[in-house]
Amino acid sequence: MTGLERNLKYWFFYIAKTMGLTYLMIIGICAFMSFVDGGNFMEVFAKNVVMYLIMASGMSIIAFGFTNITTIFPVTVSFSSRRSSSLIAMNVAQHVFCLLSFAFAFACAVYVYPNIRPYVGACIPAIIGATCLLFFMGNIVAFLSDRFGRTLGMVLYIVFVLAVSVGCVFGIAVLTRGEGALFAALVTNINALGVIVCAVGILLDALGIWLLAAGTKNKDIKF
Amino acid sequence: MSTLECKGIVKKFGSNEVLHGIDLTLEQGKIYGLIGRNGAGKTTLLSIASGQNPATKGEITVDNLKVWDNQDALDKICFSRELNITAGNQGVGGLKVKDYLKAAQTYFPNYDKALEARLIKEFELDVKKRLSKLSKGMLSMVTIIVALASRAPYTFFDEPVAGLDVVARETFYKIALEEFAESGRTFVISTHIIEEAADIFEEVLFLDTGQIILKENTQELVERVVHVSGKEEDVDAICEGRKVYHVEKIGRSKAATVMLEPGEELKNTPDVTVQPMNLQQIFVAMCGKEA
Repeated sequence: MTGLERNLKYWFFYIAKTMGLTYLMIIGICAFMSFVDGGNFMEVFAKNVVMYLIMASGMSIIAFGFTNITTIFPVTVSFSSRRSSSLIAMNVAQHVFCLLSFAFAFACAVYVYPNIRPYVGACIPAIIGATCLLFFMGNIVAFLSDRFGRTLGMVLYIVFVLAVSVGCVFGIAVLTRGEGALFAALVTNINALGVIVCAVGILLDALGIWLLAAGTKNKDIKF
Repeated sequence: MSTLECKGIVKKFGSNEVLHGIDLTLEQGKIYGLIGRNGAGKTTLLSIASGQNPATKGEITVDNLKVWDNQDALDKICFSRELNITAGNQGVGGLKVKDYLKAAQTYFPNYDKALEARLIKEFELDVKKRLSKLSKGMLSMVTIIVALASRAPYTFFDEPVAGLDVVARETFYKIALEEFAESGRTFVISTHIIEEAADIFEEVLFLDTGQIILKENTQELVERVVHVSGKEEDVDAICEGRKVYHVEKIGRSKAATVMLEPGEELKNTPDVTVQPMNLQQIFVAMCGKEA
């Protein structure tokens, strides 16, 4: 096996183990709640699963960013792995599992809310984009934690999130200025909006991965 | 012959230079003892030689392959670090022993699971425990298991016997020698428990304040370095033209650690006493610098 193959094997194993337990727990809790609810089991189950899976996946992405880069990544390097191979495999495994969980949650949402079925085509790129945006945020957490330590890294991350939020508010204000033709055009053309979100998300995700790679390339690994 | 070469290795942390232009060649099929005081740079040197951390300047090659960021070269090296599980790095401590070993199994291409199982049994290690729940000695056992089972041609041990009881230390030396005899791997063992480990070192490397001050065959070194004591003028006469370390004066008497030429012998006289020194005594004397 090449170095990248070994890393893919290990990171898929590790993330499957950590996320798998979380997802099994969520599915178990949702199944129990649906059974207790007494209504249409599949409908209630699907509604609960959508909410909890999305929450769990979103939180996992941020948590991964924090723990994987500070804990598991140094272990892989200490076992004679190339840093780039480990980072690539880490990101591939994280993306695959999170996209699968979002896909499952989306499938449940389509089952529960039939009125969104006409918009499935537009939603898929938007979901991919939103997932990639979350990963970008996760990689920023990872980069800041790795660079500045956990406490200062978290503080800087909160500052970053606030700055991004202010920027988004400002951006929306600009878009809706005057007659807001651009904003109206985007909102009415869901497909175009989905593609834009997807493209922006992928670009930012790639930027986050690059930032993380650049930050860890020549950093001393300590135990 | 396979070699691992360090050329002009410099390492700086900020403005603090901790390794000063180290040149070192490690040959295949030898056991090296890396001896140095706390903060001398042993772990830093091993982490750079194994390609885990970058050097500020210089290059490491193994069989003429650059080590840094080169998987083909990295596959030939294992550096099993001393695990320091503290409040600051609880993350690693959260892993179970079996998970840590599973990672090692995945990454080292020649990993020997049968040897791992044997070592777990010999050390009576509970693999279901988290690393944070292990004692210092048990953490040392984990690093020893990874290093030996990796079957990497160049294997570095960073303080492998730290915290081990005497029985476990003897087990380690016995198994290390068996493994060495069977595989002909190169071991580099850094340790503070010098005398115990001296018997298994074919060559010793003394590292002091970021420089290799000595690299020599252990047996030859022990034969060449002697403790000379007697009247000051007689000891001075012996010291003339020779490397002298750690001089002590008491009244008109003087004692010194002297390095003889290869093959040279110095005998006791009525005025001068010549005594052999063990490796630990030699190291302590040399850390006092050449007089």
